[in-house]
Amino acid sequence: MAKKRTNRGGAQRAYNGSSSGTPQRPANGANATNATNGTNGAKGATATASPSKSARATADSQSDRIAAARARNAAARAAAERRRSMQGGWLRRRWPIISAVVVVVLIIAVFFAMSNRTPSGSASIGSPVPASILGKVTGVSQSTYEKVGKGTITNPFKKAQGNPPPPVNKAADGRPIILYVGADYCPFCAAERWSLVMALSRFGTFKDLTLMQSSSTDTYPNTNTFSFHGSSYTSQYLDFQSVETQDRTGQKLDSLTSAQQAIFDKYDAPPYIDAQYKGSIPFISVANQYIEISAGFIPDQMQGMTWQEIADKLNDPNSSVTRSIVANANYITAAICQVTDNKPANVCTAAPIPQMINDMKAGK
Amino acid sequence: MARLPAESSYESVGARMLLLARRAPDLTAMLLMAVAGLGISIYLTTVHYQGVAPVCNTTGVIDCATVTSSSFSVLPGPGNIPITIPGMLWFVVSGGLALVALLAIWRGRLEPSWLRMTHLLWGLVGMIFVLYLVYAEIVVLHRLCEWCTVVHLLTLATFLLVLNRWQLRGLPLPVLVATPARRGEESAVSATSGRKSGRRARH
Repeated sequence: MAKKRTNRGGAQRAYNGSSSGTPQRPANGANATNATNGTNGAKGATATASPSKSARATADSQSDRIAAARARNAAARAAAERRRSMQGGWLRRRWPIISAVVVVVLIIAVFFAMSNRTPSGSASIGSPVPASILGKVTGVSQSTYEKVGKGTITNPFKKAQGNPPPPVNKAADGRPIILYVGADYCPFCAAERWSLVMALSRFGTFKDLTLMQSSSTDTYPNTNTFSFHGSSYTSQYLDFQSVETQDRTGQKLDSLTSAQQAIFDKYDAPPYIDAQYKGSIPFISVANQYIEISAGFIPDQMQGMTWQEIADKLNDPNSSVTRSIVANANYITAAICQVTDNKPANVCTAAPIPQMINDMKAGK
Repeated sequence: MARLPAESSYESVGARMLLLARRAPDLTAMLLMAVAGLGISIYLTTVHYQGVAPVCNTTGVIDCATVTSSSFSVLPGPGNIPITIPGMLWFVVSGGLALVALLAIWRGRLEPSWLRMTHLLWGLVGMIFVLYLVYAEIVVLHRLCEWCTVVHLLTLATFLLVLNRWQLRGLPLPVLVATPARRGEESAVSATSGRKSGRRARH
């Protein structure tokens, strides 16, 4: 028993981080043997010469007391250590937690600063779309979508029919492919992009969109818009492929892949569109099920408006510009929902999309 | 350390659990937060596969539907695996680690030496992931999701608690049951609680 307790005392010393590694001694400075002998005096000497049971029992009892004293000392040191660690200043005790909270708050503050940053100077062609603009294009409220509905525009899509019907154009992972072909100079592409970005942002996320203006020498000159050139789009529901074939001065920009070219050649031609419009842009194929050429609306109302001015009106269902852009976006959304199996449901089942889907299926 | 009533005073398991919660509130809180986070993750995973929007605000800056339907709501790569699944895994592991520590106290044993550092590293992984998702919400999407924010706060709170536990790693574990005084060594027993020996505390 005495040996067992001595071991426990040793373990406790190690736990308390004692650097000496030596056994604890009684307070009077005597070692264990001395303490035992000192207590028993001459009787101990007699016991050494002729040990008896009572002497051994006495020695064991002394060892027990010493071990208990060691344990008490160790426990006292542990308690003192705990008190020391907890009695420091509040700041000292909590500095890791305070530091962690401060770091997290600072990081989030940086995020907000990054979110609110705008390009240096005023918005300009080729610069990233400021959050103040993009956020309003992608953040149109449900009530605005619902109030605008079809607006005053007619269905810009034509159902791709055939015998047999054209198969749904899907990527290797099964997502339907939405193909857009346009050009930076094209004013109707400029108008269409507002609605495209708005509608597609309900299914995924754009990255690296840039500000663009249509040609200064074409009709509806300098219509403010965005460019898909250099941008990317991610969505779990669809694969959006965009090709800007020329810049705003008519210089060659992006090229179609062979697969895209095949779709463009097939569906941007009769019988899917009128012969007079063959090869027109903007061209949109919704998984080869719905085809749109030209824009859903004419960009005349946007003339003279800055990007910010257009964006600022996008939650005003009474604005004529908003009604055109949002109504066209609703048609695009309704067409896309038909090839995504009505996913996401919060978009495809929200008014006015279900009714517009029914109308489009009916050819309205 | 304050003396505790004898074990016989805590005969029912419920009473012992309440005592455990009082003696180890940080671990109990971590376990409860893991359960809450797991519940939210399961809910968000369910609505993801159902293709419906979570019950939340969907207009303006607070718009969880936009966030949960964005490309950041799924893991990169094929399969469209929702990001809530690794979230569920994180909460399961975090709750499990808290449970290991609670069981150690319950049984009067040492908690494993690797536990606090492992939990701290796990919490750090969770925080890095949370900051990435907050970046996506604020910088890329310009939208905040209420459900996601609750999950992020649970992760942050868990991380702060494991950080605090790691800081206090040298101190004795709470003692759930008192050790009867024996031959004047009650202080030693209550302080050691069998920590180093790895044996049961003597009851």
